[in-house]
Formats: sequence, structure tokens, C-alpha cells
Amino acid sequence: MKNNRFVAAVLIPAYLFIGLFSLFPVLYGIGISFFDYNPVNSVQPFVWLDNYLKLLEDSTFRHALVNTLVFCVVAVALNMVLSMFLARMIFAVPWRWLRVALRVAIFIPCVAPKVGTALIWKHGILDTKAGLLNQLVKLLGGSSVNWYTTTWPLFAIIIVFTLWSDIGYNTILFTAGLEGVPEELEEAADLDGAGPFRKFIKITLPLMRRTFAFVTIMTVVDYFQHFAQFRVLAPNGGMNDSAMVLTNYIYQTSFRDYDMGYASAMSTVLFLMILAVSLFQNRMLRANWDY
Amino acid sequence: MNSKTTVLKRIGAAALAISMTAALAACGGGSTTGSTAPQDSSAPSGSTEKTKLTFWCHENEPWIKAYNNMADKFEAEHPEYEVEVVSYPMSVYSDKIQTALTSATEDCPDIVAVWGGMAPAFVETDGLSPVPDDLAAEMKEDYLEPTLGIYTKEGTFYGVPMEYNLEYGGMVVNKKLFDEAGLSYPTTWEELRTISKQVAVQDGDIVTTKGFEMIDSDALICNYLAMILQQGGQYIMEDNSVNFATDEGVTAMEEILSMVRDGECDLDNLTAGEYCFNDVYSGNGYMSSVGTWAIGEGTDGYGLTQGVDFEYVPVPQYGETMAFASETGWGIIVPKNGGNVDAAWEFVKFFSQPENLVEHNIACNQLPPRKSLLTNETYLEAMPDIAFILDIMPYGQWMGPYNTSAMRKIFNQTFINLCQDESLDVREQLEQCSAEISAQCMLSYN
Repeated sequence: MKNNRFVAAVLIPAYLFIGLFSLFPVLYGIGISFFDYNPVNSVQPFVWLDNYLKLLEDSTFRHALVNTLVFCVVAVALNMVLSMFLARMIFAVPWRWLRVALRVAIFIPCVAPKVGTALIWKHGILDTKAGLLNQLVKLLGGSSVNWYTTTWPLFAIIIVFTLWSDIGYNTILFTAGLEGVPEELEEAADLDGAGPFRKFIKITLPLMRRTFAFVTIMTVVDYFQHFAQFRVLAPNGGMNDSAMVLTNYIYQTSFRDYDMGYASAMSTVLFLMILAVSLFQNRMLRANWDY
Repeated sequence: MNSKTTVLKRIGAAALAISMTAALAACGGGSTTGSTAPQDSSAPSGSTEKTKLTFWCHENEPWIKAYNNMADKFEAEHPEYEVEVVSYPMSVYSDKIQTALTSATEDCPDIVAVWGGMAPAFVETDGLSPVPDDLAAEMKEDYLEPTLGIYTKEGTFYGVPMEYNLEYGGMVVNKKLFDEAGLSYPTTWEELRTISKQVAVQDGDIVTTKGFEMIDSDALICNYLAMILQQGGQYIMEDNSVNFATDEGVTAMEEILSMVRDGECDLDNLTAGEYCFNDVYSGNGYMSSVGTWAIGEGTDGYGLTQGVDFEYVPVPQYGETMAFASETGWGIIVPKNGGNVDAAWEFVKFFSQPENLVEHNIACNQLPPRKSLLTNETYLEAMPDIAFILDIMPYGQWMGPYNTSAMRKIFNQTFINLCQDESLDVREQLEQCSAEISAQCMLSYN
């Protein structure tokens, strides 16, 4: 009985916190999506599914949806490959001090706020007059380019920025995962004559499945919600919405057009997408073994 | 021992309960009133305590100075009030206002300066206090038509104009560059284009030294509309829809496109969200079409001297007859849920009195919104260099019942597409642009 009280005392505040700050806003947001909602108005008309039907005819939403999916697939895939590669490189370094130094160096961009670093990229790298990228183009014999009038190049630059600013976190997680793989398995493979690549593919990667699952799900969920770099580098969605993503469009609809009911309908779609992808990944990457 | 343990447990439980209560109270915000209902505390009840009014504006050095001067003047005449001027960066200003309008009384400003382009988002709600009858009557009588359009909802005014917004008619010129090149300012459109081509220096997509510039988010559409109207054309149809795909609209668009294709200017300012006048002030451009407000940016922002480093001169007329379109400019709104609505209107009435308004317009390099101020001697004496703008003001029409910020986004994208792809059909693109603007940008209330 006493034990139950203790458990309740510990859990109830936590549940209240989750309910108040996680569950309630989600449900409230879904509720708003059925209204022509503007908080400044005293009356909020109930519009049934109008906001969802409007999504079907909205070409900017379609662009944003496709761009978000492309961004997630490309950026997450590149992030996984590059961060695993970097982690393996760091893991192979024999000196501990150098491993630590490399981890810190790779992790530094993750500590800086994305808005700040995106602004530095905007003015320092992409600027048409004095940007580093145009200086490089000119050095190679080309002429200055206004990157903001481009379509896929600007989108690609945003992906590169995302990888630069984000890759350190997953590299650290993969390094920790690599350290957890038992050495004796690799030694056994050595005795069987397996090379480094074969050992990595046949032993290291399968044994890191749990780490891989965690990192993939967290990265996908995170990348669906990336906003700052799009807001800074393509505030209006770029040329003909070529760099418009759902988060930026939701922000614009909410805080430029003040159509919060419609923005909530888009948010609900984004929420359902993330939920579905997470559940699918969780099932696909489930590992029922131990070592 | 047991009783000691029980006491300790109870003390621990009490401490936990107190700390949780304190934490929850902290989450609840710092309000001490216990009520969020709007209250008018504008009349101090016999005490010496002053009523504090909060005035919100965007960050612009000379303008903030002028607002503070107005606040000081109001306080001197009305010692029972205290006005605090609070400024925010323009990039977040609209969001701040939106959030404030939904906030509790104590977090809501009493008076807010708004740009005509952002005003529809607030006017279309029921969150604003209507202009009092006496001031509304004065506005109907004495204010120029383009200054009122956006603030009018179903015959009622929900904002008071501070200025007449005109992004057409004048341009800043870099006097030093003109002197060095031995050139005089152009007086005809043909001269303007000739000089512009002559002095511009191009490098790939960008023009490092610009000739004549009008391609930024403010000036582009204003110049384009003026060019249509000056040919005797019209872009607002009888049903209030927009149509740029007329002969005049196509001719005007081709003229502007040729400026970019001839390397006189580029799309850099339009895509980066910057103003063209910065190029003139920083020595990278000769001429930039802009409203009179940019003079203050040159003197206060860049520390330049008008008449020595730069000058403000007329943009040569494009067509036969003078005509242009003007959107509603900066004005003042009073949120309904502000705590001091009546006192706020007192301040706005004080601000709008001709003798005060003219001082503000002079300090901010603005054009006066009142007809009676067009011939005001104080204004003409203080602003001799922009007197030529006052002469053309009667030829202006309201830009139309459109959200001009949304309208610009569509128009600018069409323009960039036409610049990027020469194979696109201008008339077809303008037709598409007009249809999009008519469908998406028309005001819901006007």
C-alpha cells in the first residue's frame, strides 16, 4: 500500500506534465483544425473538414509535402552514412586524446543555434556579392550566381548545411554504439580471415542494430520538423516553392496569414506522417536478441 | 523513533507540496490582477499615480526618436499619463502584434503603429477598437483616400493614418558618383535609361555597380503600376479583380525586364529582402526609386549628408500623364483588449492634430496624410527637397482592396520567373499572376 503511494507520488506529476505539455497541445491543435480559427476573433466558426479538403487543392502544400519527404529521405540517408563513416574513422584512431578532440570538433556545430549558423551561411557563404561560394565559383573561372533564384541548388545547399550542423550528434551516438560491440567477435572473425570491410558489414553493423534503430527514428522525426535553416535561407519557400517545406508553410500560414485552423490541419497531417513513419521504422528495426 | 520518522516524512511531504505549488504558480505567469478582462483604467481616481500607455513600433532610429518626442509632448500636456515607446525588429513585428492582440490586458500594448501591408490581418478580426466618432469624422473630411483604404471595414475606421505612403515619384541619387562621372541627373525616362546602361557594371548574375534600381519588394510593384497608369491603362477592373495582362501592363513589364537584361540592375535585393537604396548609400549604385522615408536612412543610418553625399530628386515620368497607385501606409491601431482604450485614443487624437502630425511627418521624412497639410508652410519650409512629391500627390489612386504583402509575393515571383526564363510569354504569365492575386489576396472585409 505504502509502495503504491510512493509510485503514485512519483508518477502522477510526470503524467500530469506529459498530459499538460505534450498530449493536451496535440489534441488542442487537432481540435483547432476543424475551425476557422483566429485567436484574435471572439467567434471561431466550426468548418468541419473544410481545412482538410482545402489541402487537396493547395499546390504550395503539395510542393511542401514532396520537398519535406525528399529532404527527409536524402538528408537522413546521407546523415546515417556520413555519421557512421565518421564514427568508424574516429573509433579506429588509436590515441584516446585524438578521438576526444575529433569528437569535440565534429560536435561543435551541433551546439550552436541553427538560426545563428544559418545566418552566417546566408551572409558569409551564400551572399551574392561577397559570399564564399561565389568567390570559389569565380576562382574556378565562373561568374557570380544569385543562389536564391535557383531551385535544386538552393535545396541542396540547405541539405549540406543541415548535415554540417547536425552530423556530430549522430556521430557521437554511433561511436558509443561501436564501443559496445564485443571485441572477441571481431577477434574470432580475424581468425576466420575476414577483412575490415567484411567485419564491418557482417559483424559491426548487425550488432549495432539497436543503436541504428534509435538514431534513425530520432533523426527522421527530427528532420521532418526542421525549420530554422529553411526559414533563414528560403523564407518564402525559394523559387516557385522549390525549397518550401511543411514546417515553413505551417509557420507562414499561422503567423503571416493568421489562418491558424488551416495551419493546424497541416500540422495534423505532419503529425500523422511522423507517427506512421516512426511506427513503421520501429517495427522494421526491432532487435530481439542480446550479446 | 517511529514518531520522529513520521514527523520528518510529514515535513518532507509538506515541503514537496509547497515546492510543487510554487512551481505551478510560476508556470501560471506573473499576473497579480487575477483577471484578464479588459479594463479601462484611463481615469486615475484622484491619486497621483500616472496611467501608463504602451506604444509599440518597429525599429527605425529616426522614427523611434519622433515617437518619443510625441510621447514627451503628450506627457507635458497631459501630466496624468506616461507613454512608454517600445520597439521591435520589423522581421518579428507582425508576429508580436498578433500575439499581443490575443494576450491578457497587462501584456497587450495600448497603441500600436502598423504598416498598411500588415494591417488587414488585424483589421479583419474583431480585436481592434473602432476610431471614435469625432476623429472618424475628421478623417472622412481631411484625409487623402489612399491613406484610409486598408483601415476601413464596413464603413468604420479601425486605424488612423500617420502618413501618405508613396513609393513612387522620387529617387535617391549618389551625388558623388554622378559628380565623379560628370553626369547630371536625368530629367526624361530615355535619359534615365541611357545613364543607367552607361554606368552599370555587371558580373554574372549580379550587377556590382547599379544604374537605376527599382527592383526590391517595395518599389517594384509601385513603379510597375505607375507605368501602367501613366500609359492610360488600368489594372483594377470594375469587379475589383486585378488584370495586369493588358497592352499597357505587358509594355510596362517588358520595359522593367529590359533593365535587368541590359545589366542595369539585378535581382539581388528582391531575393535577399533588402532595399535598393542601400546600394546608393553604400556607393554601389547611382539611382534608386524609393519613398521619402529613405532619406532618414541615409542621414541617420549611414551618417551621410543630403546635398553633399546624396540627393532626393524626381523619377522621370514614364508615360504621357502623371498617375500612380499608392497603398495605405503606416497608421495607428488601438487593441480592444488593451487596458487603457480611452486614454489610448486620447493619445492618438493628440498625435493626429495637424500641428503635431506635421512635426512627426517632418521628423520621419513622411508625406502628410491630411489634405490640409499639403500646403502647410512649416512642412514646405522644412522639406523643400521633397516638395515636388506634394505636387503629384493629387494624381494618386488607392492600390486597391488587396493585401499588398500577399500581392507582392505573387507578383515578385512572376517577375523573377520572367527574368530567369526569357522563353516565357509575358502576357500569359501576367494573366496567371492576375488570376492568383484576384483569387488569393482580395481583402475579406472591404
